[in-house]
Amino acid sequence: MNANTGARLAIIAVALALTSNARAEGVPPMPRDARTLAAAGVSTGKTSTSAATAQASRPDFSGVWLPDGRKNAGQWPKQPPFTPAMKASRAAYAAKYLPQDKEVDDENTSCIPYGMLTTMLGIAQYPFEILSTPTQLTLLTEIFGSVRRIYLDGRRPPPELLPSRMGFSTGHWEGATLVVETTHLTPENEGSARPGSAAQRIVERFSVVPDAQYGKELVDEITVHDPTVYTQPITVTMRYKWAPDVQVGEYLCQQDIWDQNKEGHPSEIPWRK
Amino acid sequence: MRALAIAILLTSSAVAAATPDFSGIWLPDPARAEPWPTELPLTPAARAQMQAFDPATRDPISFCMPFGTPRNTLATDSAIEIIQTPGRLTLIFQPDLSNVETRRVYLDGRTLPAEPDPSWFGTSIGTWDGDTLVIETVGIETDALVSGNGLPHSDALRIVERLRIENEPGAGKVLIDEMTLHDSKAYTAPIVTRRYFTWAPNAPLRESHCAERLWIDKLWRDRLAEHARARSSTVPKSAPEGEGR
Repeated sequence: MNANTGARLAIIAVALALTSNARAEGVPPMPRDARTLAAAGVSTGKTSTSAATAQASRPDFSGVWLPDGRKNAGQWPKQPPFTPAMKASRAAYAAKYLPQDKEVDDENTSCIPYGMLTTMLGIAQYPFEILSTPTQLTLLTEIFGSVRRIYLDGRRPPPELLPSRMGFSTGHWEGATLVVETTHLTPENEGSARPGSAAQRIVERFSVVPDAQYGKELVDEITVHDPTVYTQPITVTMRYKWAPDVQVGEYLCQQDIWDQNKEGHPSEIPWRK
Repeated sequence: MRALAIAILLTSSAVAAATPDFSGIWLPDPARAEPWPTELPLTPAARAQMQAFDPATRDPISFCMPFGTPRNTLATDSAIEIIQTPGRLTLIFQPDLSNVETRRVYLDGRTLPAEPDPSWFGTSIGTWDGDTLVIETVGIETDALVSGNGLPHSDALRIVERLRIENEPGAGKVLIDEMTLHDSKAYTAPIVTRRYFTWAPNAPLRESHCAERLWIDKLWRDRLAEHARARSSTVPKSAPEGEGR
């Protein structure tokens, strides 16, 4: 064996090691949708239809993001296209229960977290962090300390999955856009600012765009489908600023109750008396 | 030369194997949770604090506050999810009837702050010791308990955890967390305990919100109050209890 053969073997050894390293980090084979797109001849990149280019053009969503309050304000329609039946039940609800005592009657004031839609509307301008792996996006919100998972591994909702405030989200890539569908959301009744039935289906299109001020922005185009609530789907586009220097803090909703208790007097929260 | 190539191969794969991937869903094994020693090495003040512990008034989770670190990691009642990303290990806890808790462990080479801001989940960094991840945590809020029976700690608490994965015959992948609690103000000697987690990729992760039970409780109180009001307006005040129904 000469030196050249040895060098070649060493190169092969390094290549093998890199391959096994990639496997150890859970890098999957070419994703299904990229293959499908390439097979269908759909252009997924500017210059190439190859699946590799499609994968390379995918943005990295990981990091900390802050809702862009200036751009997001007023996006949700003031007069949503409620169905006649929903209009009637909202009127009946208002006649019976409004005005509301927020301190007693508002579930978020009572530390029950926002649902997925309100969370993504970024009304409270708290940061959230995205952890990105090839099979899952995980959003860690500061407000209510919530966790939202978006599965990218092609799974379907398990049978008899119960509804939850974050729902069940799956995503697939369309070029550089991640398309996410969410179902199994906890229904919100006619008294809610944004009612939702068990049939509610939310489709989001996530992308990253350059931004002169913040470097980049995460764009989430949200379309809410719920024929029993709205006569037509509602679409809004939310933007979140890249915020690498921001830390997602701990959100301790019940801090006041705990503090009052520590100070030796029982809670002042009306419904805990 | 072939021997050299094989040696390179072995070394490279050993390096790849040296940093295991903790990502996934893990179920704590309550049967293997190491019990606390019967004689905890506590200072007199910490011992008195523990003896006076009243869960109804002094347990944060009774008030929807967090378990906090390390109690979230030591509790054995629900699945945990670990997400490993470049420079980070994130542990997500969803204990039944409590809120989600998230521990962030930085693996990016940063050092621990000299004066960390106290927080319920602490400030954590991790370094590799072969196939073991060594996590150091400081800056834990003193309101957080170490255990549900009131084991306290001071602001001097420093937690060292050694995390590794073992393949056990019959059990498959097992995550072992060997935890040492150092606290010069509350403990007279370090306290060591271990937890075992089995690999459970299909375990369901349920959303849990502590306030939900309080909210439902409130709704029921409203409902009962409304019922009582309706009853008092339809039943004459003079009627004996139980009549008119």
